[in-house]
Amino acid sequence: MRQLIWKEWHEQSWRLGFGCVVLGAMALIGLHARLIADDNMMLWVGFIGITLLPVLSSTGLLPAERSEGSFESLLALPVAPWKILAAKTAMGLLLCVGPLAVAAAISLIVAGGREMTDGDIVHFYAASSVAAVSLFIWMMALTSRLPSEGRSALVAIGVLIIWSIATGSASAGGLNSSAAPRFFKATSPLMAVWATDPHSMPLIAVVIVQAIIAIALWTWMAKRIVPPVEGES
Amino acid sequence: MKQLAALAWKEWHETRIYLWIAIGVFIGLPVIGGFEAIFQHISHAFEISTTPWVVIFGGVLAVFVAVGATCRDYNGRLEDFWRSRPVGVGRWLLVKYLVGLAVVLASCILPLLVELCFTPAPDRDAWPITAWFPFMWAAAYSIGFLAGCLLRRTAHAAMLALSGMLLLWFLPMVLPPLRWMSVAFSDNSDSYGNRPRIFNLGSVEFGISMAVLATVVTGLSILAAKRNWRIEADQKMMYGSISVALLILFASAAFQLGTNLPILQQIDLPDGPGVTLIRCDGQHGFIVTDISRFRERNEWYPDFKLRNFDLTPSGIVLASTSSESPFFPYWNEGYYTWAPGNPYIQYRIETNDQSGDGNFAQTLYVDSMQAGKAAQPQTLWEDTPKDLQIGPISPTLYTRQNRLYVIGSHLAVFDISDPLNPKLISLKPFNYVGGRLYFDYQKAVFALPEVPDFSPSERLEVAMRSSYWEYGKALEGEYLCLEDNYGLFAYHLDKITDYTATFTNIGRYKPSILEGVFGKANYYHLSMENGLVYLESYPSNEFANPSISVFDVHSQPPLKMIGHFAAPGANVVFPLSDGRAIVGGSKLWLVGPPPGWGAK
Repeated sequence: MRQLIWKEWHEQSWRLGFGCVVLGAMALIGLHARLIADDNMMLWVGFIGITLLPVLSSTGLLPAERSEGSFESLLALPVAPWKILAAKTAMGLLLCVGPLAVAAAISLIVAGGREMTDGDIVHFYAASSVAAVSLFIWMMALTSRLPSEGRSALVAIGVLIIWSIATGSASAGGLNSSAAPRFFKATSPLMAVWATDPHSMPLIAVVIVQAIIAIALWTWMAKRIVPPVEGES
Repeated sequence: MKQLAALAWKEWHETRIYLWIAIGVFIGLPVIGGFEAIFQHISHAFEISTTPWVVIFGGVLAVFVAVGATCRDYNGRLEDFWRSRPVGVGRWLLVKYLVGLAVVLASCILPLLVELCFTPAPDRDAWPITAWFPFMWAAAYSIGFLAGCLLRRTAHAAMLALSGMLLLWFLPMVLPPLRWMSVAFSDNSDSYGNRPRIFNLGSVEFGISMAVLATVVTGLSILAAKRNWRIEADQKMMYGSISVALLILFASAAFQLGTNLPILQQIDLPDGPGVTLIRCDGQHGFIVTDISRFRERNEWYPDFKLRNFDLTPSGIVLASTSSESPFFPYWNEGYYTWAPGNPYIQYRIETNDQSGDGNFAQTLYVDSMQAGKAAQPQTLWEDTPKDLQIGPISPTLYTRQNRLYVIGSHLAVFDISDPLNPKLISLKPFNYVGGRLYFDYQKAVFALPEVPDFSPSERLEVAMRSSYWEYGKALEGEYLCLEDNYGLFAYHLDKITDYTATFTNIGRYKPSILEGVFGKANYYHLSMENGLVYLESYPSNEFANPSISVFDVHSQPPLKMIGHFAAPGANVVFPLSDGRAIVGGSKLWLVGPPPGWGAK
């Protein structure tokens, strides 16, 4: 397992660095310049993180291996497929959470207590991380068997658009009202960001529901990844 | 020669498709738009507006043509084939470059000529664009050519070249040292609102810089091809180059517009956010807060609070109590003035048509802005100018030593030895109707009021206070600054007599496009201290913060922006004599002088 994680780290660390540099630099420059209010600036950083990181990480893990033809070799190794998937998932989670954590740390240093309290900043980035991770699991599950990065990127963007439209439409129609279907509130990955609104659902409730969905998706995905049968071309 | 002609024919044969596409987009779509405008009764005359299409997509076309031309023949075995031909790589590449460039220029210039020839009122920038944008397209084309020579993969080269084109387009706009390379033609106006001139220094600088850039990049392309330089484009490089380009732009914008005045102290406002007035004599002062500014729009109603403060070596110390503000603190400059040496006593004029017969009664009030001493406003004197209109005849207040002058239809002089109890000592007809005599941006001449015993400079101050100017204006010594929709203008006093003062323009600051995006073009108040011009601006959009921009009127060229401060609600500033400034908004900030200013 350690070797698998090392392999993923070796292949994906540049993506982590890329995400950290982009989000960290955006937070640093934007909050230092103060051209826009701190909460708006962090909203932009969170928005870019939520849209960019899941697509980047989900397409770079399984579909990239398939397009290079190395995934079959990986499955042929004497290791259970779920372990391979677990190592890739762990790396994907790091790719989603790491840059947002860096942006949160920079935001706290530059703007902590200035216009938003430290607690509000941490809460916002935690909610953004939950949203990014939830989207990543959805994208990874739906692209795990696609043969190329390009195709999986299109599917990932489609997932993002569908959830955005669904969440936005429901929100415009009164998602926070009692008439709205309550189960939808927690099933949308993007609801984690809405949960920063004190009148909405508590973040912990969203996290629990999202965790259950993520486990179900991951189990489904793991069952679909099977090692090649000997003699099969 | 025959060989080169054959190569040129081959290139033209392969590249001409871009010309047909460009003509379809740059001419065909505007023609359809022209018919649409007529059918929808938007326009009575048939107009072909090609300029926006060409300006926006001309650079993209240049990149596509260049990348297509290079990657097409630098692809796998085709490259070996071309290298085996009995013609030098340099000559072959140069033919390719020139044919592609000709296609790009024809694709972009033809639509502009169509607009100029067939549209009754072409875009005011169409001629300068036709004259100078080809240099920019040539530079963008050269960047695409180099990217193609180095990467040899169409998609990667196109993305990299587009990033380069974005930098070429926007970096000079956001980085002041590169402004001479800026594609923005707005500085070409010979006077403001008139048609831009085709030839001027800025345009020539832009054209030369783009031509030099294109030549250097083309030379590099040929060198890269001759020496077979190649960059293996992978995901890391593509992600890296695009994000670096975007971050450079973002950082440049932040560098130009972001906060650089050091915050020495930040104070929460006990009465709530929304400072609307600050005044300080260096040791004592007050703020007026209007907390309704931060309410929802439909809840707006004025709610002014007055709070005194002391300015100590350690910073601002707010008084523990506040009181109701004795007056509505949104006044034109000439209608109020302050007692000399006393930051708390204010005199103001109100003009009312109480009788309803068109005669305006003017009443002088005195207010004390000291907490605990806020007396009721006193009506001291009334003047009813018959047959005169409000506006230029509204009197101007001016204080000097222990005298208060009310200068308008009458000249009233008060003794203000006891600032709270002015005593009228003289009153006589005067009929001064305001100070501005002539103004055309290059020159401003002011008529000075013939107030007895006033020096010309004092008369000039009165004239400035009384002159009507829709936007901000500030006078300090021999320097005058005015701002309006066309930017900020600095003038120097050239000549002053007892009756007139003549100023000549010495500089102009025009807000960049980027400043407009962040709402900085909405300036509305100016103040000057120590040669520093403080410009308050409020954004037109909700996501940007209000800000204070600081300019140096003594810089070379004058009006160089040397400081900026942006924060929620921060659009009220009171400059102090030591270079610091007090800024009000959602909080109260004591900020230091602009970086490098103290050293000067």
